[in-house]
Amino acid sequence: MTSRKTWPRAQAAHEDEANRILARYASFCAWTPCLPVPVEHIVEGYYGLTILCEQLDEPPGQTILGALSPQDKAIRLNERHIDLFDRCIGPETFTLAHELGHWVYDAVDPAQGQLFGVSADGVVFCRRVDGGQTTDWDIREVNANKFAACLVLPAELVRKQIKSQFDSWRAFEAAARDWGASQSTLKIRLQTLDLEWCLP
Amino acid sequence: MASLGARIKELRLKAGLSQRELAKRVQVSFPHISKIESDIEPASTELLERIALEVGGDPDELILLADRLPDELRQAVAEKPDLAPRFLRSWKAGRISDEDVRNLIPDEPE
Repeated sequence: MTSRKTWPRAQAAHEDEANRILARYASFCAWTPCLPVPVEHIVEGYYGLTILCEQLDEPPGQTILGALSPQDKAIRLNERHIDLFDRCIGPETFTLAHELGHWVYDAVDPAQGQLFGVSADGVVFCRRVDGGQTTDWDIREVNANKFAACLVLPAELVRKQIKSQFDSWRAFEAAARDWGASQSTLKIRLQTLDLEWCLP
Repeated sequence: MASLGARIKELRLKAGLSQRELAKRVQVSFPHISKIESDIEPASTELLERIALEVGGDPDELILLADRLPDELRQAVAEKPDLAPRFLRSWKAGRISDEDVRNLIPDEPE
C-alpha cells in the first residue's frame, strides 16, 4: 500500500493551507469571506466529497465522530453521535473540516481518491476523541485538527471580528455560535492567535 | 443517467441548501437525507414531492428516478389496461418514435 510521508506541520503551514483553500473557494464560488465559513459547502460543492451520516463502529473506549472513505470520496459522520451534532454548534463542522484535512494532507493523489493505508472497508481516517501523539497516525490526526481549526476560524477573519475584549462568557458563547465553532475551539484558536486578551 | 441520490444532491447544491437545511424543510432527519443522497435508503413518493418543491426540481423526474410512477400516471395506465401498456411497449420497441409522441402531445398552456 502506498504511504505518504507525514510530519508535524508548523502552525504557519496550516494557516497557509487553509487560506489557500478559502481563497480558491472564494474565487470559484463567488464567496465573500466572512464567518461562519461554509465548511460543508467547501467539502461538497468545491471538493466534490459526499457527506454521509451513518452508524460507525467504535472500538471499546473510543469515540469516533467521523471518518473519511477516500474510495467513495465520502466523509462519514457517525450517526451514533447525532445528538451531539444536533445539540451543539461546532462538532459537526469541525469533524468535516478535520476529515477534509486528511483529504488535503494525506491523499496520495486527491484526484484519484486514493489515500495511504486504505483498509479493507475503505474507511481510513477517523476523528477520534482520545490523546497521544507518537505514531504517524497520531501526527496525521494532530495535523488534521490544526488544519480544521484554521479552516473553521481563519486568522484574518477572526482578527477582523475581534474589536475588544468579550464583556462576558455569554458574549463569548454567542460569538462561538455565530461563527460556527464550539467554545473550546474558539478559545484554543484565540490562544493560538495570541488573542487570549479578549477572553472575558 | 444520474442516480436518484446524485440528482437530489445536484439540485440541493444548486438551490444553495445544506443537507441539514433540506432535512429541516422537508421535516425528516439529517441522516435520512444523507442516506437518500447516497442511495442507501429509499424515499417515499410523498417525501420526493416535498424535496422537489424545496430544491426547485420536477417531482415526476425524482419519482421516476426512484423507479416508481407518479400516482396519476399509474392510475392512468391502470384505467386503460387495453391501450396504455401496448402504447408504452410499442414506444419502447421503437415502433412509435419520439417524434410521433411529441406530435401527439398538445401544446401545454403557458
